[in-house]
Amino acid sequence: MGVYETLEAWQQGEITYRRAMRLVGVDTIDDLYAAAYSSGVPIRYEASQSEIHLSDHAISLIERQLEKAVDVAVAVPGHSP
Amino acid sequence: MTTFTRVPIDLVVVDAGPLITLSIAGELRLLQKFRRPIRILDVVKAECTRFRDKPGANELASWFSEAEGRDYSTIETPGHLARYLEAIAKEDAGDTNRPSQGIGDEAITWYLVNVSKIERGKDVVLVLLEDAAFGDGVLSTQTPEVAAVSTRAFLRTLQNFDLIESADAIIKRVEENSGGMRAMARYLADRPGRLGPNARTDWNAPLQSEDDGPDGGMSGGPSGGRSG
Repeated sequence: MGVYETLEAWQQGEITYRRAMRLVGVDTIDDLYAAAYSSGVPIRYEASQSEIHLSDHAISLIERQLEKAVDVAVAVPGHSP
Repeated sequence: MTTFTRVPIDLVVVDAGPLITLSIAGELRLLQKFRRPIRILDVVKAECTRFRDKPGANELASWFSEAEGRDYSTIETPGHLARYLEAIAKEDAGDTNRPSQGIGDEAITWYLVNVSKIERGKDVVLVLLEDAAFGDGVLSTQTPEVAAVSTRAFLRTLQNFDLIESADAIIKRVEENSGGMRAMARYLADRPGRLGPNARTDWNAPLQSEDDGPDGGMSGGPSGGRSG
């Protein structure tokens, strides 16, 4: 896949940013956006469905970890909630 | 999603940056991967060989003479080369205002604007460059119908198409072979030319085909060599 096609596929949500970074040969997401800008690839500002799904999943995992941390704190001897 | 008609490029114009970089890496042969006639402007050749002590300059000078007509054709520009030579004479005499700066880019822009006449109707052009100011500035605003590809994007695409083993290895070699004096610009652009509301240029399709383009070869030009 060419660089332009890669950047376009990334912006259209067809491939992940990680795959796009590999194919374009950059180390940071900033460089990926810079390449998209210089290549005239329309930048998408709204999150794609898969990005929203991934974000929701990450948030639920973080919340679960926070709940666990609270449970552990409450269980510490001498701790008064 | 808009579907674009993809129009294969007719010609490739190479700026000084990629020539110097590919020369230092010993990879000028990669220009033939475009499978399209290569054009180099007289001013650009002069820029590349101005300082013979700089990495890649002597190799380029040799390649310019031996590969002319076979791997590329020279485009003679009206007045630009003379102006460039005058400007470098002033610089050599102590002028610190860099009067030679930008003449190469100006000459390429002149060629792109007049390409249809110069090349007898072949006007789907790609510029291989390394300079963000030229790529994102002048080219994108003045000649949006022209495709712009940076050296980095060119090498990465060749790697993705399995035409070279590693773009990074070539990029690393530029630094090594120049003793750290030159590093490939970070500029990464692969911007198709916009030929109309639903048409844009394409340079990837010929990479793996037998299609050598309208000239049926790499260097052939309308005049079989030099163009004026």
